[in-house]
Amino acid sequence: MRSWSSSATPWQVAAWLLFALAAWLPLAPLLRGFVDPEALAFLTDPRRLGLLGRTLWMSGAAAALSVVLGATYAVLCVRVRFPGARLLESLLPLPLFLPPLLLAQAWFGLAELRGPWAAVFTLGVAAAPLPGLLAARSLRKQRASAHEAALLLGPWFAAREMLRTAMPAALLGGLLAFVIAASDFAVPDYFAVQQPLFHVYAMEVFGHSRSASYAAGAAAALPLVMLGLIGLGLALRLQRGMRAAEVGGGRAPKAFHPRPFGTSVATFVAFALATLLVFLPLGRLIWETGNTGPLDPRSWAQVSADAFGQVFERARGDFLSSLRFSALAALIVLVASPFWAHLLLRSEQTGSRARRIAGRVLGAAVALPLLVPAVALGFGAILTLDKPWLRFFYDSPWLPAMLLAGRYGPIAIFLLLERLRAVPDAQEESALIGGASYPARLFRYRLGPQAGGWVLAASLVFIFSMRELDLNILVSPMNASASVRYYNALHFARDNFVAACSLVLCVVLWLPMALASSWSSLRGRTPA
Amino acid sequence: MNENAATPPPLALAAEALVFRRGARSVLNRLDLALAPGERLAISGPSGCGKTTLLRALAGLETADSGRVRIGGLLASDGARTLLPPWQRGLQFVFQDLGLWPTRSVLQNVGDVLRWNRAPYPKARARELLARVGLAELADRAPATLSGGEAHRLAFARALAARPKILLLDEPFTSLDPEARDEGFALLEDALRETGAAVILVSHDPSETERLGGRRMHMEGGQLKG
Repeated sequence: MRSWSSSATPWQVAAWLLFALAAWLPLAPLLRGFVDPEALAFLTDPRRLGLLGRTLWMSGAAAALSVVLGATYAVLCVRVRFPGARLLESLLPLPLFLPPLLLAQAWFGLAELRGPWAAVFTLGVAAAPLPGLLAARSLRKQRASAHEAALLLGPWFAAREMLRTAMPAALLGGLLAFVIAASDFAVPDYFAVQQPLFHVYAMEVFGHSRSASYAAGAAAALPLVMLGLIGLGLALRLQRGMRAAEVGGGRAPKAFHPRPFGTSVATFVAFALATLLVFLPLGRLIWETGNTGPLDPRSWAQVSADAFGQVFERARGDFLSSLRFSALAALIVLVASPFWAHLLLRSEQTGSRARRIAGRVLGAAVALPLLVPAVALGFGAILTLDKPWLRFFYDSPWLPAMLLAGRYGPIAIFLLLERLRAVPDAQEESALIGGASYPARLFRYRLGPQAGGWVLAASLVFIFSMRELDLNILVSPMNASASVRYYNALHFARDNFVAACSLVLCVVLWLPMALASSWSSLRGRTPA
Repeated sequence: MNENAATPPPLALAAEALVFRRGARSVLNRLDLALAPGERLAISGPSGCGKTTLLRALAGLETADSGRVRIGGLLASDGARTLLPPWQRGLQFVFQDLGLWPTRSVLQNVGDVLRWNRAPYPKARARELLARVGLAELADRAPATLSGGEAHRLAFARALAARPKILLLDEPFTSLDPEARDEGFALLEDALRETGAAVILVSHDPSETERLGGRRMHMEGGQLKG
């Protein structure tokens, strides 16, 4: 679609102004680090270089683990027919919606995992859904005829072709897992407290918050910001490979139906992976809620009920404010994301090369708030917004909502962009010719058939906002939140309370996802 | 007396009382078909009459509810039981949407088939095949960047690289303009002359089935007539 109506301009300007305020403004102090000699001093500091080296290998190992677990899970659930495959596939996103700290607590309780490898394992398991979901998507979009043409040459060739299809997506997920693991401070911090002590770069950055030296903290975050930028460049490259592999348009290949022994093996491996990713950590937390000491006369059920009672009594306020922040963030994204995604879509469709390049740069800039460490974003927010004349805004629930919308808005934008791409341009063009206003064209004709995707995008922002921890610890108006309450209790070893708190958080996170998925599957069909 | 001399050569492909149901609807209804080595068979019929399903069942990509498929005299499938998997049937398929491998270059699309069939000098041979179909200059391009006609020529080159004994063509020229269609038929004619492969072409366009030459049949009610 090449025509563009000037009636869109005011709406677009307003929406992008909001994105600039929410997402790009807090990034400004971080970008200043690139020209700050003090910020670049890490290059000559052997201790910080050592920390960076450890962060790199740990994140690399976590990313590799996430690719192996996620891609295997995706291939089994999407391409092999065995009983329970659909149920297991629906569980795949779950670890992504649990705070990684919760998984750390569960795995420490289960296997007494310790040290850097425990952090690697936890971060790898927590991020496994990223490569898994992306690989599953690519496998579904492989054209059946391409798979069958390969099958005529032999099963191994077909398997190789299938891996070639899934690999760019799995690697893209692994790259995101790498960036997330490199900037996570809570999980390494948790395992470091359990001994043996070790440090990663994100802990070094976070350490500046204790002395309230926010500018130094923002400067110290420079290597992680650079890592995010490098990740962004690689991600764009992998995304091109992923799009090339996802031809789609026709039937998806049929799932492979192995002989009885193969079915048993596939079922066993898939359930083992689901146990590792979901059932074991959740089971451990459930058990932990009622775990009694040897001298406690109360039963497991009594202790568990008391723990949940305490959560609703003591942490109710924090849960409610977390819900308020997250709901407001989701609302901002619900209203603005269609405009954001539509401009990116239009920049892809323009005939002018310069505008296409500008669109790509804009797309990269949109991804940036998601790729910088949350701690660094928190420093940036404090430096730019914690001013006496902005106090009325800084202390209101709108600051957390805006920061969370800026941080997680990109997830909604990219999801919606893909859904909008699936709607034929002619639907919007005929509305344009018919004289419909820009909001009507966008919401009724472009977004209407994809209402499920729209709700899903906003729900994801809600979920990720609810599980946010690093930003909540750092920015004072966000301290009164469920994740911080949980983090504090964890460090005071109040295990029953923490486990109950985690499970309530799980339910709060899981419910909107389940509802959005159902809504999406009911409404998210694109007309042929 | 030499008994072998009296035995007729086995059919390249045969279907006996093939039944394929989709829900309550019978797509193939006790369908019989015989194809001699090197024979050309064109099947016409309206869209949705089961032409593609027939080709897919012959290739082993779909499992019929009952009936038999024989390839070169060997029982390939008996009812829902597959005895010869698709890769052991010595046939190649040109799909309606071509099914090119999007992550591989034009050269690799052909080269992979040769390599997988253990052909000597696969890269040089792939270049030779591409030159014959006029794609030598585009060897390093991705399939997605080819025009409709070029993509069709690549699909033919890939199918012929395996030197199949049977070639199954599922409406391969439908989306092409007349000029590209002429090129496609010329290419097919050359390939069939050289390899001596038997071919089944299905199309809803009678002009295409006429053009192939050889035997013509019409599909109706899940059976072949004519």
